[in-house]
Amino acid sequence: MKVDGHMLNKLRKPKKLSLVFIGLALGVSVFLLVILLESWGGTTQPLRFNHKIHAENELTCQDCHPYFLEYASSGRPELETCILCHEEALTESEEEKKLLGYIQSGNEIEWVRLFRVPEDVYFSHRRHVAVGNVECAVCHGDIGESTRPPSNPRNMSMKKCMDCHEDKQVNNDCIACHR
Amino acid sequence: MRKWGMVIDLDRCAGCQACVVACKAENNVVHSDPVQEETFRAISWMSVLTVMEGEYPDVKERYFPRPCMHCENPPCVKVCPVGATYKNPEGIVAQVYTRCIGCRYCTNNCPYTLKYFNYFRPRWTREMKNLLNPDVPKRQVGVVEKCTFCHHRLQKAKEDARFEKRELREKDYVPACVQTCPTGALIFGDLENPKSEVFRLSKISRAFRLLEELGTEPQVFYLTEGEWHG
Amino acid sequence: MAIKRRDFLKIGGGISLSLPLYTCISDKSYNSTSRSNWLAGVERWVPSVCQACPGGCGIMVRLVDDRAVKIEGNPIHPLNKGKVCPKGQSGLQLLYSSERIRGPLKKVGSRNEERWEEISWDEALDTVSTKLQQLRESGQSHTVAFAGKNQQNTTDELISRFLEVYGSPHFFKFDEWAALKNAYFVSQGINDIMAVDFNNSRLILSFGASFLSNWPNVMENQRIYGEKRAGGDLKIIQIEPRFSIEASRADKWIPINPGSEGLLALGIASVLVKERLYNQAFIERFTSRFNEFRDYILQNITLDQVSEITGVPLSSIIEIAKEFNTHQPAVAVADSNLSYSGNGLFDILAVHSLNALAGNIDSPGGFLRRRQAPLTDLPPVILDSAAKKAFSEEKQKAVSQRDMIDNLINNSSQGIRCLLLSSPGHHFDSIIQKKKTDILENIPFIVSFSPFMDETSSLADIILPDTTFYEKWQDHHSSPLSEIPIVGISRPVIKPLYQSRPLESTLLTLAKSMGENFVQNFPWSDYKEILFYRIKGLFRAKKGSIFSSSYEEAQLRILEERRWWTRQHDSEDAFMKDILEKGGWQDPSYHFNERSFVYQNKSRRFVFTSSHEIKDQGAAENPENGDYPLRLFLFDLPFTSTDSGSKNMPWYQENLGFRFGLMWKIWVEVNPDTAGDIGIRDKDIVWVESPQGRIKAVARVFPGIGPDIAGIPLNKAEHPLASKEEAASNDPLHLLGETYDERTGVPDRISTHVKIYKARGR
Repeated sequence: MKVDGHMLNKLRKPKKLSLVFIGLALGVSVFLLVILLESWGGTTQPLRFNHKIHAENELTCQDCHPYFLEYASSGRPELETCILCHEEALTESEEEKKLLGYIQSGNEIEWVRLFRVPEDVYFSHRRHVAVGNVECAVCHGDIGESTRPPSNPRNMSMKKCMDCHEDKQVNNDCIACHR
Repeated sequence: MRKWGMVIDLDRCAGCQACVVACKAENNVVHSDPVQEETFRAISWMSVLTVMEGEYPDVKERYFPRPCMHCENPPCVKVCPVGATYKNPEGIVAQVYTRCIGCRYCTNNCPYTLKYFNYFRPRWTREMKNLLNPDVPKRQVGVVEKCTFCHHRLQKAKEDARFEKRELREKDYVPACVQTCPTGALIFGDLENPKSEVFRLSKISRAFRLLEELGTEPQVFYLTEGEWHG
Repeated sequence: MAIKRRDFLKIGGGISLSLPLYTCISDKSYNSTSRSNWLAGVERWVPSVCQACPGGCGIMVRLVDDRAVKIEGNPIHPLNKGKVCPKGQSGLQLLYSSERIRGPLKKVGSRNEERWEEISWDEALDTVSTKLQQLRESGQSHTVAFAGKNQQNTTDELISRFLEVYGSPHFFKFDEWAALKNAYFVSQGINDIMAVDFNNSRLILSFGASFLSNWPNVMENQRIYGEKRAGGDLKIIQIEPRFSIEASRADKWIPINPGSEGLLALGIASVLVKERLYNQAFIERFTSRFNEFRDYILQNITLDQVSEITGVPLSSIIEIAKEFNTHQPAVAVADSNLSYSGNGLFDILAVHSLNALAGNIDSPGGFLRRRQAPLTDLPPVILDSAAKKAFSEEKQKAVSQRDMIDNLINNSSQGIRCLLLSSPGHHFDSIIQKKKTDILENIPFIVSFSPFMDETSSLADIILPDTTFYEKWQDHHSSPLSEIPIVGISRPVIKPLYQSRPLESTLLTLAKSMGENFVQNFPWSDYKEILFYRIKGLFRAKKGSIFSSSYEEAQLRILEERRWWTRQHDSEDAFMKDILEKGGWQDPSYHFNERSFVYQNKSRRFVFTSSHEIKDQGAAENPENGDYPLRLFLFDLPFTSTDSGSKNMPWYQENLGFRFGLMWKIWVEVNPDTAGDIGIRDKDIVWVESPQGRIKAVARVFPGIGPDIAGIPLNKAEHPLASKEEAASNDPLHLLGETYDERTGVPDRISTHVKIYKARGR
């Protein structure tokens, strides 16, 4: 295309073509807003589960997350685990009433997964906990002390993974984690 | 350090295709369709090439199972601008999908044409999604993929070994194609270990490698009786 | 600045431009575990049996959170020893096929159409049971027929039992190996296939036998092939019109004119007889009518004539005969491929006579006969008066496939009024294709149990969808082609998908709804109970063992050969637990010299047949005019013969054309000289036309096929995206005429003639 002065002039002027860019900017900002809202809002669990009170009653992580020593995933508590203690109401708590409602209806609680790695990462709990003796808190922080479910996971970046791997002098090869 | 490699005995191969299908099932490679066939864009990490020689009725045919050669000196790695493909310490030429920008330099530079570009979004029907192996990601359109020697199996085998507090044994890790090969034409193991079957076979007189003159030093050895005229 | 409609559109355009940005980042598929589906990734391996073909290889299914994701071989299964073929590897695509029928269907509108309405199981079962009871009450029970495959499992017994109690003799079992069984019946009086001891053979003289690609025990054969090629003593000579996989793996390929294999076998026999290169001791002890056979051959077979008709050079015939003699033990093998000529039985008999000449029957490296596994028999059937009446009146029982076809379509006097169909295989499919309207006209009520929308279900008035074999209990008695009895136990690896129900439980439910006599004869609550009842016989038999390591297996074999056996389980329960864990039972010992088992005819000898017809079908039936100059040769692709279940497995299907660089297209193989003559170039799109119809194919110029032959693969099933019409219109079976083997009723695949011409466009 031949570019002459006239055309350049045209481009410089705030002509109506630029409306497309305004639209674009609008779209991008809406998009960013959505992203922000998503992360601000975080996740809401169906129950306000109190980790702290369960820990105080001498429950270990494994009692409710049964798989982390044997499988890649740690697992989440299913109703049959809850029933072991909560066959009847133990407290006055509203949240426990909700739980009893679930137990009565038999519908599993739809726990929302909080910690997750991207699909191309293979993360095995067994590899880290059973083999590598990494404490839960190293990645999950003080979730065991929480009195209500956190709405956002702790920041788990690849850098953290790699730094830890470096410290412990374990495999930092890409395909050891990236599938 | 181990160096994983494969030996393929062409005199044993019966061209049954079990390796090809086992690979697709293990590594979430979706089956092709006629459009991909027309445009030569079907993906098959392991494929059996056929070479026919002679005239009727003196015909000879060879079947060449071809996984990635996992070259010692891989041409594809040299051209990758983003480090998405690299040679891992155990001899596996790895492909990291999330790094791949889809420039296809590596597919063009592979003399064996064993790297595959996802021209299409892999199409899994809702039902077929049940087949997806959770150890291997579903690919996206626009990335290059290739045979990985099923390295996810290696990671699992290592984890199992450590979990059971023992050393990794050579037999703990075999790629899906080798595991299923009915004639025993595919043999897998550690090329650095003088006690291993692949070490021995890679040194016998029947052994040769594809396009040896290019200096790529493949870690896949072929065996055949007589001279190979490639 | 006033914003006009046009400007508004521009802003909108801008926003929409930025939309992909959002979708690509928030792509939920990137996080494979959706939020409501938070699964632990618990992995299990379940032993089972692959039933994608009649072989019955042992498999281990990998389950992750109750999804079946991968199949590997069961390493201790004696047949496949941890290996799986491409079809078996694709098996889970059957399970998760989108062609699965979700629940019972009822045909609406005209019977020729394929329009369906979903109905409940209660309604469907009620309709079928009412229909069956009506027929039975009106004394018409013999007009009910069941058509299925010849299967190696207890389902067969269950169907037979159902029909017997009901009062119908019509259980049509389509059997691809019928011609072979007929041949062994004529020569040895046994109505069974014989196994071949390839492990100890030194020469395989194969007459078109697809032992490396299509036999049900192909995993075993491939293993032996691999071992022998890595340093063993095994020579393979493949005699076949086409350069098949076996031919390419053989030491020598001898091309032959289609349909003249039997004659070549007689030619080889004549060399052996003339030069006295046969096993005199065996012939004296174990055969009869040898003198007639010898005289017949010496008088009627001249090598020049054989060479001319078969197209095999004289020197080759003599050489093969010499090699057959010097490389003993040698086996001459034929398979169902030969039965696709109009003369199959004679061809197979002629080939088998070579084994008798060499004395390789019931001997190491020769032909062996498998014993049945000692499963408990079901208790005898108690017939009520209606059934007794039906059997006393209805004496005529369908024996051959020819009779079945007659009974189904042509025979109106005792026509079938109700047909129950359970995937009878591709012979039946080919009949359906040609005779659909006849079948629909003559048979007023058809029920299909097929799990998929296919040819058989297209006929049905009611579909009661079966599950795939991954979703049900089953036993599998491995193919007679391997010499040891093996019973594999297959169990549901996942619950039945959708509303499908195992055929066996559907039959039991039907039986229970049909009166006192049925309830009495079917006292079991479910099919699993029947299986366990039968399997417990293995525990009581005091032989064989549950699958074990090869060391233990060898031990057991040595012990059993000396008639010893040690108990491995204290109780039935312990036995059942173990057999389920390991996947099955076997008896690895073979006992030679049990004469009455190998020869079941009156003379207890191999009977030579000397009235072979010398007939070159091609020459006889070639039309005089040159309209159709090429002879059609339809062949089976690897792992496709013996059943129709080659569809719905795209991973396996796409590789069927690997030798020709084609994935989803049908091709026609033409010799380079012939291609030159008819003006066809490699990869041209052509029409192949016979007097019966035409199909479109890709021409492949192929030096592995004889001049003037057009080789076309059968069972190149359609690609997953093809419409039904597209697939059906391109089926090579359309080219065939209406000729069948006179004895077996198997369609003749080699006597049709075709012409090939370029298609315009693509």
